[in-house]
Amino acid sequence: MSIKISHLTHVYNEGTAFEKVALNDVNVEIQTGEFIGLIGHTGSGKSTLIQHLNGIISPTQGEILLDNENIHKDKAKLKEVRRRIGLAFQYPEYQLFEMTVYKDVAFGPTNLGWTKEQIHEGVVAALDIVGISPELYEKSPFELSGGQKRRVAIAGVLAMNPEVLILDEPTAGLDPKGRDEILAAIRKLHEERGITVILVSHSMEDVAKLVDRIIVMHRGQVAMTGTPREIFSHPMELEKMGLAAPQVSYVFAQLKERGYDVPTDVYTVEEAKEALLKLVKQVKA
Amino acid sequence: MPWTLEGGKSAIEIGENMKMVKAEGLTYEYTKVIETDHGTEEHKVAALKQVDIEIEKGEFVVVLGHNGSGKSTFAKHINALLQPTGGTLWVKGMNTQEEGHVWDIRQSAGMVFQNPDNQLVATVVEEDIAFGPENMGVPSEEIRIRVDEALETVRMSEFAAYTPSKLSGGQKQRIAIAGVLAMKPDCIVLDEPTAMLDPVGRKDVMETIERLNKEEGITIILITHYMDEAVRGDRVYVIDDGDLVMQGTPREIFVQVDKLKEYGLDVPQVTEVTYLLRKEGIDLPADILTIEEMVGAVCQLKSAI
Amino acid sequence: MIRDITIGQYYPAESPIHRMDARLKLTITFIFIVTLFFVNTFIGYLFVIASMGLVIKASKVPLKFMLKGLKSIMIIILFTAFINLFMTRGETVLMKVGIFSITMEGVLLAIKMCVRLVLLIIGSSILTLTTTPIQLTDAIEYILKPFKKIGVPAHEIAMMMTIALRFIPTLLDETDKIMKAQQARGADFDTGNLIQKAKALIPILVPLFISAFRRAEELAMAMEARCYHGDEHRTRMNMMKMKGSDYRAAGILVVYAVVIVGLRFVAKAVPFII
Repeated sequence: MSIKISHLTHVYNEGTAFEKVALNDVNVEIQTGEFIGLIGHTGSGKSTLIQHLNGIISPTQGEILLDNENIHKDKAKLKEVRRRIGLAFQYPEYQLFEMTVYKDVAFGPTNLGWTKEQIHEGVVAALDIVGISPELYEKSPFELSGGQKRRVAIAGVLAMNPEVLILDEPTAGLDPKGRDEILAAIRKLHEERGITVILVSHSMEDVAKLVDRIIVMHRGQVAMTGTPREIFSHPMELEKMGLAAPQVSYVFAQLKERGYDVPTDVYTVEEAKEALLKLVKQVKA
Repeated sequence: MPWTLEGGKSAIEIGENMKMVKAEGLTYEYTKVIETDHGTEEHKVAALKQVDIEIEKGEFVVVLGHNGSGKSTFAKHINALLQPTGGTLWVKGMNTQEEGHVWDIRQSAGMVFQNPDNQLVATVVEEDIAFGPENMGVPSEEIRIRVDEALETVRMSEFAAYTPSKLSGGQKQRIAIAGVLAMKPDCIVLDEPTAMLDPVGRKDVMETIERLNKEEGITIILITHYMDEAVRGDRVYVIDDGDLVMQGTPREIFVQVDKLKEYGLDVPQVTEVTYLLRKEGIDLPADILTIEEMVGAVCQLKSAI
Repeated sequence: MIRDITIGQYYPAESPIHRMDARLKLTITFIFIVTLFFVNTFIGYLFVIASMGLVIKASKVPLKFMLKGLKSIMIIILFTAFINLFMTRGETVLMKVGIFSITMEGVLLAIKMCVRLVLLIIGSSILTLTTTPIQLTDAIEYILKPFKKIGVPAHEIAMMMTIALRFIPTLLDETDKIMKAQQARGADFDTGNLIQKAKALIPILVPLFISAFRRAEELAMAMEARCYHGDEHRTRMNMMKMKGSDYRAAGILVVYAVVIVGLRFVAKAVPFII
């Protein structure tokens, strides 16, 4: 399933003193099975953008095409759009409300009017992929640890069997262990189910580890788009937009500046190790 | 509760060889009720076990640990928000278990919490900063002066008349810091102050904290799980499962990459690369923490060969 | 949208009314409301409206802001007018509608009640538009202080109001966020009958309550950490002090009240000036 955003503009409080252009003529295409990283500093418009994708807010101008069909064309179909494009908000654990983990995850599927069997299948599969074991199904979601709560909340979106999953800052406020668990679940989801994933994140290290393509938002527009390799080889441009590249990108940028023959598109720890080893061997030879 | 502050002046001056914070065998246990198939069971859980820590005046101390490690429990003891169930904790020589010291301790060791929204009380920034000194009974004119100074120190003077809900997360945290500053503390305990902030907010808050330490000489106790923040401290303590498991300078701590990972913590990317390269037999110094140090070390390596 | 709700709608301006001591403003508003029910002559109303016009002019708040508050209670005003119109018995019957009859007395009373209500709303709008929430809560605390002896928790009431004002925008934001999150899970708040609509609120209200409790707990701890222990030995940064201009305003208030009461007596003696 492809998503095409064309000439999307969104203005908050239009016509009042508080008027604010959040998105200004945004054009983006997302293909089936892509793993996208959406980055941009606070207020760059990325939250507004993702809320458009599943019709939670409507465009002021422009349109969002899902398989070449405007999602707002038929209001009756909006619910189906929201099923197909799952959206997990920032701090999703704050939306938990049911007595048990199972019931909470079943909320979405129940709203869709699924049969009991379909609901059960969806819930179990979703909880399994985020690593919540069956012993926890009947527990109150409020008794779980912070990381577990967040995974249950994300399962609540997954249970609706979306074709695209959008995650707004899924690792915010978690410690390294909680973060790694969430990221592992997301990676598994992408690899096993072939789901299209859009990851909104402030953490360049997380983005660098996971995504195929990065979209950089700045002042309500798409400022850059490309593979992590392409994007992170421009650390200075990122800085100008209030963003940063992973630490090792800077190391190589500075080495290059000092005249060393090193690649400038290194952004993970593994690559950095290999590149530096090569450099040392070169020098020795 | 008895009142020991006079006009907001600290009743006790810190002595020459008095520690800012001293913990001896600090233990905190609480009872957790667990529901089982046979009714409820009570379990004793130790959030802190026999912790000994000494923090000097003027130090910048970082306490690391994953969520639930007990690091927040430790922070709350310093502010006398929690009382030890075993051992003793002194703040500026005052035992936190003695009721008479509670307000002096809270004035000496101010506290900033994680959620920027849930620690501002008033609807106007300057009124919020005045809240602490007002509670301490500081005279009105003096409060005015302190509020203006505190706003200046956190570089938020132009926001004095704003309402907190119009500020960004990072700005709210700086207001929270100013609120503590107006109480003229010797020490500020910050419990994961940047966990809910974006990178810009984090940077602003960290710069503010560092400035308070360097320029105002305020003792900083920063609770965090961000390693790039820990690098900036003078001393690092690692708490795991209620135990104090590591302590030392950031360099001493971060070379132990394996051990840190075992405690569910990260190391900066450059430190990890160094660690991997050393494993391959490359002769780099183990204690590389920053981008500049890494670049410098690689350059030296080349000239050595 | 839920965020359009405005509370504590302060209109910042430099005016004698803005500068006036909040305690005095609160007292004036109170006396003003009481006198409204004292007035019973046409001239009396004219006098009240004229005085109010002067105050509005002095406050430098555009009239349109004053009238904004009326919109939300238009229904109540119309309802009052309606009831008075049909339920007042009198001698001069103007019209008969079924079992109801509209009388001259009814028409007059309806007009009177509407004018009173409108004046009451505008009067209190002047107070909230020219006084910051903080000044207002401080004034309430101060005025309630004498009642502490009979168990009125003046400081606590004021503190609760301050915290409520501080957290209303935060909780509105949060409600918005939770609604969107549940909508993303297929929740539907717009269709269905009343029971279904009420049921649809559970996924919003439960998280909202939990979050409010969590915030309350954290806030309580933060307040304790900042040495909060009730109003014992508490000082304030901004002390309230009556200025010369405040005493003059109080003097004007007395004159105003005397005129109102006087008019009532005059009306009794010389009834034809109604």
